[in-house]
Amino acid sequence: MLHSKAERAYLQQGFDAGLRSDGRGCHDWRPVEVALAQLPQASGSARCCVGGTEVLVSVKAEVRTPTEEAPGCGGIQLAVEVSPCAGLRLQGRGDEELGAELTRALERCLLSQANGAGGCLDLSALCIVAGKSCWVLCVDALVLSADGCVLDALSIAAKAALADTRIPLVEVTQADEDGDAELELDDDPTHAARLDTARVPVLVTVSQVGAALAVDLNAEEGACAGAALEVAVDARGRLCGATMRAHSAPLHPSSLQEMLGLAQRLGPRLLRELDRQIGQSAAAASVAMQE
Amino acid sequence: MLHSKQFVKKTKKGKVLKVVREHYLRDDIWSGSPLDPESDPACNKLSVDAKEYLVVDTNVVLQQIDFLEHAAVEDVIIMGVVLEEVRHRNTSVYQRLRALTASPSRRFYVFSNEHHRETYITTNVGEGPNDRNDRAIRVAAAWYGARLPGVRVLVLTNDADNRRRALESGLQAMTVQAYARSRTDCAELADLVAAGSSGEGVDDAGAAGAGGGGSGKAAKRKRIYEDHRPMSEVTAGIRAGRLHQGALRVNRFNPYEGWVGSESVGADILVSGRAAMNRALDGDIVALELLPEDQWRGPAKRLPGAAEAAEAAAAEAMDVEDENSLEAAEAVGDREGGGAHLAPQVAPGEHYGEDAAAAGASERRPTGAVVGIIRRNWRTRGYAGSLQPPAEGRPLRRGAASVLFCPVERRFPFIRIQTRQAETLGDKRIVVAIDSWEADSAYPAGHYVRTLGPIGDRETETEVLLLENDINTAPFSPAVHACVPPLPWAVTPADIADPNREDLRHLVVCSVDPPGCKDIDDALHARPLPSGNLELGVHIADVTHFLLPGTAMDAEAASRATTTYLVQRRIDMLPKPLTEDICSLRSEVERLAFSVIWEVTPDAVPVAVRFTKSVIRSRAALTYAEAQSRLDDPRLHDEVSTSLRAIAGVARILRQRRADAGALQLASPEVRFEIDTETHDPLDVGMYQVREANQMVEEMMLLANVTVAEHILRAFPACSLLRRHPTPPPRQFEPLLRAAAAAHVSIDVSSSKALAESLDAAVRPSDAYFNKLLRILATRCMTQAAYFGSGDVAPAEYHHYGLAAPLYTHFTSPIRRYADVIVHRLLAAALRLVPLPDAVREREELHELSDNLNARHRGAQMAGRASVELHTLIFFRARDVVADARITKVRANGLIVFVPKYGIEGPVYLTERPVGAAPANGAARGPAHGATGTAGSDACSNYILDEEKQTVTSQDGALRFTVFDMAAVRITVAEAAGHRRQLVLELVDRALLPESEKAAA
Amino acid sequence: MEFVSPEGLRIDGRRPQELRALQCKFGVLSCCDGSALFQAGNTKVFAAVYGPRVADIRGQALHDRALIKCEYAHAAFSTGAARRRRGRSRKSTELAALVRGALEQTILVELLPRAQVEVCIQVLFADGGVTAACINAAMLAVADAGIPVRDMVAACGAGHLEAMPLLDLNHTEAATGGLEVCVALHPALDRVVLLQADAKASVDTLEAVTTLALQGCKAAAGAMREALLQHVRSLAARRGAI
Repeated sequence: MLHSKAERAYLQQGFDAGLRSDGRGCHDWRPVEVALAQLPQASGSARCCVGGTEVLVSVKAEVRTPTEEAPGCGGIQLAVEVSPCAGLRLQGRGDEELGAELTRALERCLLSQANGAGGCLDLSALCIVAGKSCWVLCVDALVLSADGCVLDALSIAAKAALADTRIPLVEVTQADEDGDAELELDDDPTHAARLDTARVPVLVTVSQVGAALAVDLNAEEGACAGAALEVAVDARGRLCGATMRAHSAPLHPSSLQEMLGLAQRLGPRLLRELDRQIGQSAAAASVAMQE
Repeated sequence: MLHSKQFVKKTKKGKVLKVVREHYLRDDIWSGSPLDPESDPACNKLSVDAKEYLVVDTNVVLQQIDFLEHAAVEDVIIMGVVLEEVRHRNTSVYQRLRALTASPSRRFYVFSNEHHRETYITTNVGEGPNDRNDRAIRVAAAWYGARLPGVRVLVLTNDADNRRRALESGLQAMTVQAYARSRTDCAELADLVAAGSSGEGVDDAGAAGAGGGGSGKAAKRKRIYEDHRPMSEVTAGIRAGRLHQGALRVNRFNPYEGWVGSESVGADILVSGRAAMNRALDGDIVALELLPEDQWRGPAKRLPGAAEAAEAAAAEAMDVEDENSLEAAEAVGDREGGGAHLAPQVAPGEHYGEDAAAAGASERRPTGAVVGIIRRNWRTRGYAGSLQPPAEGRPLRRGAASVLFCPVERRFPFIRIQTRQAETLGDKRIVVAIDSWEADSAYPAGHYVRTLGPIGDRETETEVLLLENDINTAPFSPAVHACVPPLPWAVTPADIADPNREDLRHLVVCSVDPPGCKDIDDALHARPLPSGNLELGVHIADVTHFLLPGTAMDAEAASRATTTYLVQRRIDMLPKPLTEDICSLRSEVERLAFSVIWEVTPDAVPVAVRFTKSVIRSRAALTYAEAQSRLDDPRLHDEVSTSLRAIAGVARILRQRRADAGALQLASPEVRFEIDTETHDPLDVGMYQVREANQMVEEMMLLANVTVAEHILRAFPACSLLRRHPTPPPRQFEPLLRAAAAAHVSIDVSSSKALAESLDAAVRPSDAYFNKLLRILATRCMTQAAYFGSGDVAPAEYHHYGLAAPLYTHFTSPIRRYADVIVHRLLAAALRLVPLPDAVREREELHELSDNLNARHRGAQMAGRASVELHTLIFFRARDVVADARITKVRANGLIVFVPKYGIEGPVYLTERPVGAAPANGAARGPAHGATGTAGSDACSNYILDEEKQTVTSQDGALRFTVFDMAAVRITVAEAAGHRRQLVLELVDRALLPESEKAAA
Repeated sequence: MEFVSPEGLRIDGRRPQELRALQCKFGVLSCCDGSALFQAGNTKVFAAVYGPRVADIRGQALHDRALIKCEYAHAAFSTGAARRRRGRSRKSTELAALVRGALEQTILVELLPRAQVEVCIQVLFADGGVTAACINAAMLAVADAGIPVRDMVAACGAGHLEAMPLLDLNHTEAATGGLEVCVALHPALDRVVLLQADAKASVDTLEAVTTLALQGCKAAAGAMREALLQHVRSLAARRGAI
C-alpha cells in the first residue's frame, strides 16, 4: 500500500496507546452487518459487511453420489472468488491466488479432516441413500469489496448462509436392490430441511500491531501489522483451529497464548451478535413471505 | 408489479435445481365481458345477455373437452392457470382448448388470472399445488362475481372438495353432469359428459349410473385385468432389462392380438389374448414382461377368424356380471373373419397378420404380457362406429342407458358408453371417445361425441373413413381465405416486368392429366434447338408466389400437408380459388410457373439445365387418352403434337436408361370407377389403364424431381427436404420368395437391379398375368418411401430404391403436396430469389415437418384406398358377380385370392361351412357361433398345409390349391358385426365364370 | 414451449415489447472511485470504477487520451443451473472487450491524457441480457465516479421468438437459441455504439429486432437518467447544496 513511513508510525503509536484512526479500541470490530437470503437462485445465502469490506456467500445443494470413503455422508465444497471490483488486483495481488488462499483458510475452519473428525456440520444428515446419493453443499463465496478483515467476514457470511440454507425434501422410491434409487421431489416448496449450524465456528484474525494485539484491521491498518493469527472459535469459546496467516511476519511463541486467548474471548461475542442478526433477518424474511 | 417465483425442479439427469423466475403482475388484463365498462372492447368475447358465465377447472377441461366443444356450451371463462395445467398434462386437449378460445364463433375467453394483480395468489404453507390452483380458480371466479354483479358466475367442477369450498366462499358451483342435465334446452349435452373415473362426481351420478352399474358396485366387481404396475416400478424394470418398452401394433382384425417392436429384445414381441393385452390399445407405448419360454407361441397360421373369435368370445364371457355379456359374446362370434378388401399396394407388415408368418410362422415367437402403459394413444378425435343392437326381446331403456359401441376399425375393442339417445342412434354411425379403462371393466368406458349420419350412407361412410385417417375436412378459416388473391385473377404487367421472372409465353406448353383434373400443377414443352439438341421444359405452378411463409394459409397447408383424393371428392390442401384457378396451369390462360429447362442431346443426355420463375401460357390441357392419340397419330403436325412426340421420344430413352440402372417396374392394382352422375353410385369398376402418355409425364416429372433434388442439396447440404426409399430388409421379401419358389421361378432380391431383371425373366408363356401378379407381390415387399431432412440421414441413405436414384425429392405438385412447396422455396433460395425459409433452417423443425408430411401422406393414401373400398362395396351391393381370381397365399384353413378386375383381395375359407366364414345372415349367427370352436379344428384336420410348396390339400387329396392358381369366386356383400359391410369371396367352379369376366389384364 | 400466449403475455407476464423491471443503485461499493448496481429483472450486475488516475504501467499510457481497462467476472453462483466453469473464458474476455469498446466511445477520453480508467464488472445473477446489463452498470459506475462522458450509453437486447420480436429476453427465452441482438445507443447523439447479433437470421428479421432493441435502449436510458438525477439530487441534499 501507499503508506509513508510517517503514516505507519502514526498508526502504530495509536495502537500502542489503544487508539485507532477511526476511534475504535484495539478489540473492537467495525459495525458488522449480516443479511440473509440475498441470492434467490441459491439454497441459502448471506451478505456480510464489516466496514468497507463486503462479501457474499451462496450455498447450493446438489444431489451427487457419495464418496467411497464416506458412503453415508454428504459433502461440502468450498470456493472463494475475489471480484475484480474489490480492487485488490490493483494492489499487485492476483485475484486467483488470493482466492485460493482464502478458500484454504475457510476450508480449515468449516470442513472436517480427511478422517471425518473435527467437522462442524453433521454430514451424515446430508445423506439420502447410503452409497447412492447425497446432498453436496456448494459454498461459493465472493469478495466484492476488500477493506481488511476479509477472512473474518467470509466466515461470518458462510455461517449465516448455512443457517439460511433450505434443502428440498426428497422421497426415495427404491426401485430394487441393485437399481438406482429414484428421487421424488416434494412438490410443496415450503417443505425444506434446515441445517444445524450451532457448532459452526467463525474466524477471528488477531494481529500484532507494534506491541498491541488488535482485531478487524482495515486495509490501511493491515499494511502496518506484524504477525497475524487466524483463530477459529465456536459459540462456547472453544478453539476449533488456528493458523498463521500467509505472508504473516514471524511470531514470538510467548505471544501465541495471548493471541489465542483474545480470540477465545472475542469470538463468542461476535457470534452472539451474528445470531441476533440472523434471527432478525430470518424473521424479516418470513414476514415478507407472508405478505 | 414484480413478483419472484421460486421452485425446485428435478432435471432429466436427476439433478435438483432451484429455479427462479420473474412473475409480473399487471393491471391491464381485462374481464372480456361487455358488461364491464373497463374491459377493452377489442378483447371482449363473452356475451351481454348470457344466462351465466361458466368457469371450469382443469380436470373438467381434460376429461370433458367434448362437452366443452359442443356448440351449446358458451360464455366460458378459461383461467390462465387452467390453460397452463392442461398444457402440461395433455397436449392434444390443450390444442383443442386453444382452438376453442381462438375461434371467433365461440365465446371462450382466456383470463390470465396468474398475471392479474388482484387474482394472483401465493401458495399457503402446507398447500399442495393442486389445492393452490383450485383456490386460484375460485379467487378469479370471485373476482368476476364482484366485477360483474349482473351475471351469474358458475364454477363447474367434479371435485367435491373444490365444489364445497366454492359454495362456502359464496360462489355457485356444480358438477358437469348436473349442469348438462340442467340444460333442458339441449338434451344431447348429457351424453357428451365423459364417464367419471375413480368415483369422481359419484354423488351426482345417481341416475346416470343406473344402467351401467355405478361406482357403488365397484367394490363387488371382479377384477378382470391385472393392475398396471406403478410407473416407478415400470421405469426401474425397463432400466434393469426385466421389462421391455415399445409401441403396440394391434392386429388389424383382432383387438386382442398385437406386436411390440422392442429394441431390448431385438425382435417383435407377440402379445396375444385379452389378459396379456391388459387394456392396451393400438399405438400405446407399453411396458411388457416376457413370458417364460415354454409359454411362447406363434401367431395363428390360419386365417383370422375361428380361433381368435372363440377366445375372444370366452373372454367376453368373463364380463359375467354384465347384463349384456351374452349378446356381446354373440356379437364377437361374428366379428371374426376378414372380408375381402382392396388389395394392398405397399403393405408395411401385417396384412392379415402376415408379417409374423413372413418370419416363419411355425416358429414360436417371444411372447409377452402388458404390465403397464407408459403413454396412452387414445384418440382425442374419437373412434367412428355404431352401437351394438340390444338383445332381442329386451326393450331399450328410457333415459340413460349403458350400451356397447363397436368401432369400425377392428383393431379397437368395444367401448361402453352411457347415452340417453340409444333409440335414435341405433342406425347411425357415431363418434365415441375413450375416457378410461378400469381393471374391473371388460371394455373401456367412453362417451358419445357426435353423430355422423345413417349407417351405409355413402356420405356418412366417407366421413367415417376421413375421421379414421385423421383428415381435416373443416372449411378453411377466414384468415386463410384472406391470403388468397381475389378472383378473377390474371398475370399483371408487374409480374411480367419482374427481372427474376422469364417470359415464356411464346413456348408451346401443354399439360397432360387424368380426365376431369382441375388442379393442374405441371406442364411440359419441347422444341428443337439450332444445335440439333432438344430443349425440354417442365413447368410447375408457382404456388409459393401466393403461399408465403408465416401466413395463416401457410400454417394451414403445412398442417394438412397434402390434398386427399377420394372417389368423387377432393379435400384440398389449399383454398379452391388457388387450387383450381390461380395456380392451375389451365389452357390458354397466362399463369405463373417455376420452370426447369434442360438442353438434351438427341440421345437424351442432358448437357445443361437451368431453373427460372416464369410466365407461361399453356396451349392445351390434355387428358392421357387425348395425349396418347396425338402420340399415336402420325398425321398430326400441329405444334402441340410434334412437341409431345419429341418429349415422348426422350422419355422412352430415359425410361430405358432408368430400367437399366435397376429401377423397378412395379405393379399396383389400382382401380377406378365409372360413376353414375345422378346417384353418384359406381356403375362400373376396372383397373386403371396405363398408357405411354402416363409414362411420358411420369418420366419428365422424375427427371425434374431428380434434377431439383441435386440442385437444392448442392446449395443446402444440411437442410434440404428429400425423399428416400430405403432398401427393404431381406426378410421382407420372404413371402415373395416363398411364392416364387413354389412356382419354380427364381427371384433375386440382392439388389434392385437384380430384382428388376429376375422379375423381367419370370414369365409363364401360358399365363400372361403371372408376371404382373409377381410384380404385385413384389410391390408389397417394399418399404414406405419417406420425406426427410438431408441433415438427419447419412448421405449414403438418401437413396431411392424403387427408382434406383441416388437422390430424389418432390417438386412437381406444389398445389397438392406441401413437401413440394418447401422444395420450391428451397430452390428459390438456392437461386437467391428469396431467403432460406425458416422452417428448414433448424434441423429439429425440418425433422418435425417431414414427420408430419409422412404421416399425412400415409393418412391421405389410406383414406383414398378406403374410399375406393367403400365404392367397391356399393358397387357389389346390388350385384352378384362371379369373377376371375388368382390365389396369392395359402393357409391351413383357407386361401387368399386376388381378383384382378376389381383389385380386391380377400380370404376364402376352406371349411365345411357352406359360405366360408361369412357371417352372412342373422339366422345363421347362433349356430355358427356354437360351431366356431369345432369348426376351427375341423378346418385344420380337413386340409393339410405344405409351407414349402405353398399348397393346401384336402385330406382325401381331392382338392389341391397352390399359390398362383387360377380360380373363380363369387363376390357378395355381407353385413358383419357393428354394421361393417364387407365383401365375401366364395370359391366357385370356373365353369360358372362368365366370358366377360375372364382373363383380366 | 409457448413464449407468447395468444393473450399476448410472455411466460413472465410481460408483453412482447416490455422491458423487465429496471433498478439502478449508486455508490454500492466503498473502496473504489465510483460504483453502481444495475438490475434488469433477475439479472444483477455490479460495476466498480477505479480512476481516472496515473496508468499502472507507464508504457501503456496514451499521450493523447485516457486508457480504458475493463475486467469482467461472473460469480460461480450467477446462473440458476449448475456451477459455471471458473476463470477467464473466451466469452468473458469478449464481454470485457465489448464493454471497453462502448466506454471508449462514451467517455471523453481526450480530456484525460495519460490517465487510466479501470472498470470492473461482477455479474451476480445472469438471467438473460447480461451484455446489456454490464454496459449499463458500467455506464452508471462511470457516472458515479464523475468521469466526463459524451452522452449516456444505454444498452438493451431483443430477440426473435415464434416469428415475433421480443424485447429484453430473459434466460428462458434466450435459451431457445434463436436470434438475439444486443444494441448500445447514445440516445442524445442518436448513435449506435454496439450491435451484436448471434444466430443466423434474415435481414428483415434482424432489422425488426434491432429496431425494437433500439427502442429498448431509449427506454433504459430514460430510466437510468432518472435514477442518476435522483441520486445526484440526494447527494446534493446530503451535502447541503440544495
